[in-house]
Amino acid sequence: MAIETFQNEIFPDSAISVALFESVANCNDLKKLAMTGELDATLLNPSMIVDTFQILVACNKALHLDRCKKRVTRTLHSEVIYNLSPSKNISDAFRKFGMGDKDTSVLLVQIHSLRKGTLSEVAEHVQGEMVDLSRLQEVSDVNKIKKIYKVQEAELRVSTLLDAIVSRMTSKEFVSF
Amino acid sequence: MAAEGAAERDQMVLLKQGAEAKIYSGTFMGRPAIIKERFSKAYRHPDLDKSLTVQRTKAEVRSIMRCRMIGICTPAVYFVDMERHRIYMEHVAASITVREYIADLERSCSANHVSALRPLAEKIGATVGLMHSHNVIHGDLTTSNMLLSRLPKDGPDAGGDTLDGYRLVLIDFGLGYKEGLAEDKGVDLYVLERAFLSTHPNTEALFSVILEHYKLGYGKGAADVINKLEEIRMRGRKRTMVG
Repeated sequence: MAIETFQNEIFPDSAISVALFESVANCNDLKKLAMTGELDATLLNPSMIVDTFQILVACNKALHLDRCKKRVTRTLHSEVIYNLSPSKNISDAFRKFGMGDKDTSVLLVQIHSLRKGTLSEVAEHVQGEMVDLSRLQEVSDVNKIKKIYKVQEAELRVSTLLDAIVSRMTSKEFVSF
Repeated sequence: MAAEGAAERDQMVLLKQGAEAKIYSGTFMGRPAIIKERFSKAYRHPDLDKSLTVQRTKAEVRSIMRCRMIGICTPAVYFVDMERHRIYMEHVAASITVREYIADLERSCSANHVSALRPLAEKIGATVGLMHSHNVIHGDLTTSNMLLSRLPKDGPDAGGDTLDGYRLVLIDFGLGYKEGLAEDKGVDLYVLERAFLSTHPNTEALFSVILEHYKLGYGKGAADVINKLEEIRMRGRKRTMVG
């Protein structure tokens, strides 16, 4: 039950911290804080995530686009939400992958410099219970995920759902699904 | 820029160098990965060089994705870096190339290796047939660009799509593109035939097994491609442009 931090070979000066919360009472307030920029983190809808690797792929792409000044959305953290989506529609990405006002669970993700993660400070705003990241597998809505990423059975005969998803996320700019 | 310092530090080992790209093995977010980096050519005009490299990187990812979505096993794509023209992809675990696999079999059971290779030939034929029926041209179908990946013993066995515990994985779509013409599909098959017969002599019987199952995997329209193949055999890969 703790914040987990991941390192990235491509951007070794940065790190990614992730924490999952359930029974959250104040999603509405959290969203307002995030929109005004007071929360230095991304608020995700955990039911759209099958594995932490999916988040890491989105964060890596966000860091890359940020550093080469090719970001599509306003902040590094909003770019993570956009990168999770298989579509190029920003508001659609926020609706599906961002935390909703009435949700009761939230996945906090922060991209920070190697030494200075402040996700524990962000977590103080959450009125809920921090749970182990392994809970993701139980929370994820596999059928909805397959539908949104348009993953067919033919592909799942030769690939995991996770690989199918991350491949779509990384290639959405030049492949139409 | 910080990203450039990072490039020096990330642990990449050069595996192969081709005419337009280098292949490294490394890791991506902790997972074993293959990194394909297209390098620039000094003899090309810088603008042309950049646009060709970008186009080819995109085309490669497109072909990988088209194949994967119709149920042909290809490596997962983890990250595309258009600044450095790199594709980070899944390192296919526990794999050997079809070329090595055939060579091993020829050594270990030289007497009946042709019959031992039959299931593999069937799978290759069916896979290429399926790919062509969706108008994907690989561009460089050789036995070195096909991997056999050993599946984990008690892993999720994907419904009947295995070959004695192995799965056939197509790699290197660097010359891949989308085209519906029988001509391009015929050339793709012709390249496979030449590669097959030159690296594995006395396997003509196997190639006819490949063609048989190509027809099955392709379905309607396969006959046109086979006819083209015969025409291409007579004239070679390049079309005569006279008249």
